[in-house]
Amino acid sequence: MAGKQTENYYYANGRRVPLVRSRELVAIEDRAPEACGLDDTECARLKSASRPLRGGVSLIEREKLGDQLEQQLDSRQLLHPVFEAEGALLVPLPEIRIEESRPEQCEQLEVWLKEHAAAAKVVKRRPGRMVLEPTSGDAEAALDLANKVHEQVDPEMAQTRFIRVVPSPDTTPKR
Amino acid sequence: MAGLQFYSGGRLHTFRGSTLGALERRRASSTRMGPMAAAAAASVPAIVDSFNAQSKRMESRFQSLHESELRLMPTRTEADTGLVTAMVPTETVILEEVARTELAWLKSEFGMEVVAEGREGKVLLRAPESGEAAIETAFEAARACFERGNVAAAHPNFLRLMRRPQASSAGTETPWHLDNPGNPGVFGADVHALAAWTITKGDSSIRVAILDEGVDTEHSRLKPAVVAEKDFVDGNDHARPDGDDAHGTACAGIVCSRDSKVSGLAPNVSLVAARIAKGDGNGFWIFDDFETADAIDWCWEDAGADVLSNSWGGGPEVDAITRAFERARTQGRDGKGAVVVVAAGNSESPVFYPGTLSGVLTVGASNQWDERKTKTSQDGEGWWGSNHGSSLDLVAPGVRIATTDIRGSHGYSSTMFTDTFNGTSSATPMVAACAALILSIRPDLTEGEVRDVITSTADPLAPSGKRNNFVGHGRLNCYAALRAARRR
Repeated sequence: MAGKQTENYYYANGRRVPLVRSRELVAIEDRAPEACGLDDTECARLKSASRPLRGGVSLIEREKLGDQLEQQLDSRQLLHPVFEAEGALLVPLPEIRIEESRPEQCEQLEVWLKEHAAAAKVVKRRPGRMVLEPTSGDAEAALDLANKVHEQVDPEMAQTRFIRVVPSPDTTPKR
Repeated sequence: MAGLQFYSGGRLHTFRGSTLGALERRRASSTRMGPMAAAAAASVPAIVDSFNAQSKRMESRFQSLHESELRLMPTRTEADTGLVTAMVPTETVILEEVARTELAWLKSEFGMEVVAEGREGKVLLRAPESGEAAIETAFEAARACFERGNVAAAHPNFLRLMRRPQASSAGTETPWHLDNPGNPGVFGADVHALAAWTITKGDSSIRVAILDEGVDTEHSRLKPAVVAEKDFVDGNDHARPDGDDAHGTACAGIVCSRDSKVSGLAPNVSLVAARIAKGDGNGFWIFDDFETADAIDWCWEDAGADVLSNSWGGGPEVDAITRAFERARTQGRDGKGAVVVVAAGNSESPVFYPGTLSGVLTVGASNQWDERKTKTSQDGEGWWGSNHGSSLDLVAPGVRIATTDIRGSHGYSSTMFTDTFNGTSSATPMVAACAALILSIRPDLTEGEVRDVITSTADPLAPSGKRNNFVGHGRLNCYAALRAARRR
């Protein structure tokens, strides 16, 4: 994952929002240490070195993993990239939400989904809304798919799920 | 002991005390009693305990009095709490600016002994006898000494029994953001709450949603207002916060705290609590954008919120959240639109998302001097300043705001209240509360009309008297907004 150099962005209000990949941080799935069969000591070390987020992922400094473990975790898709944008950290998850109420665009969307069935599957539908997941289970694939839907079908919304970390708005000292 | 007299302020007063036994007997026999005597009689057991405790602590100064010898003069009562203050005479006398010759005279005439010397020439003397006789001697000695004219003051030393001040509230005066007397600051640099409350304190049919890191919905001053709550972080069946996450509880109190002293601006409206974030313990908040969007939709769609108060923000724009706010504004309140209020941010930099969105009320902070809150403004809170930009609509008080605090000792204070809450986070629920008051008297208004009323009636703060990017249209004036809404 460290070697991926493609341009990263997503769409908001019809405009591209550039994302800068964090060099130091990566998101690790909470189940990763056990899923990789790491021993208890290594599991405990990784847990103490990580900051829990939400959605079953935590932040960890890349140097705490080491190249070998990072490759091992990445090959099992247990790591997600961390991006920086406008003072926030954004962690994409392998989920895309689409909103579209116009009948013509809905038809186009269905056609697109059939053409990309190998890359994306619909996991939830409601009138005017649906949730997709990349078949690869990869968060960066979700980011790419959301952008493709946006660029090729232009629905009212196509967005990857982000975990957002921002400075606390709380400026009042606590006891 | 009838006829005990003493000088105070140069005039002779009579001590009209009764024994506790006499008060108790009169109460038991239903003899007609005045309200103060009745209150004192009802307080007999507590008074005896209190006096005995005081005597033991200060036995070098006071003898122990038997209950039958104790005289009590009730001086003040309150209807709901009974006896508040009572005077109990002792065998001691206070003198001021007294010469040695005068002390010798008191010793020879009355047997009075010096038992303590205080600051600024105060001397405490005690009569030699015990019981009622000692008290009578003390009164007589004090009166005689004052009449000789050789001292600045001479009067019996009373014990005063007072009800301990209630510790349930953060302060004894109306919080400055509601009514600013100018100490510190500028008189009237507030939201004009007292005047606004002559029109309305809100209607329970109007619901304000607090989207935050959780609200202590079991807090006694908030619980009566809570009509719906949901946790979008951990999926709990309540929206209460974790650990020391006190921010949302403080925001909620600014809207609808039902405390008589630390009151919300709209204490009679209802509260919806949506937990959308949690602290990470390192000064950051963690959000899941999809859950945040779902929370916004839940507030207007399921919980029926009329106003959404958002003291959070930061990071880039995302469509999921933007569109959820847009739905709230256009589809909430059966199409009239829910009012969305958003904090500008506290870094003295350009306004944060979602305060950058059009159609929301973006709120900055002012201080007790009606200044825009900056890191160098007069309030002395040099670690934060209100954000600015073209999307800023108005400011509201945001420094040292009195409001509810999470229960226990983990929040901003060790009590149920704090008087130090700050930030555009505190200004935002004030504007949300004002919107709720407007809808309480004019539920027919659209959200756009409510926004227009609030911004057009703000007290201008810019030197030009016009809107600018630092204070928006000016500081919230809730009274003016309600008057304008009524006329609209």
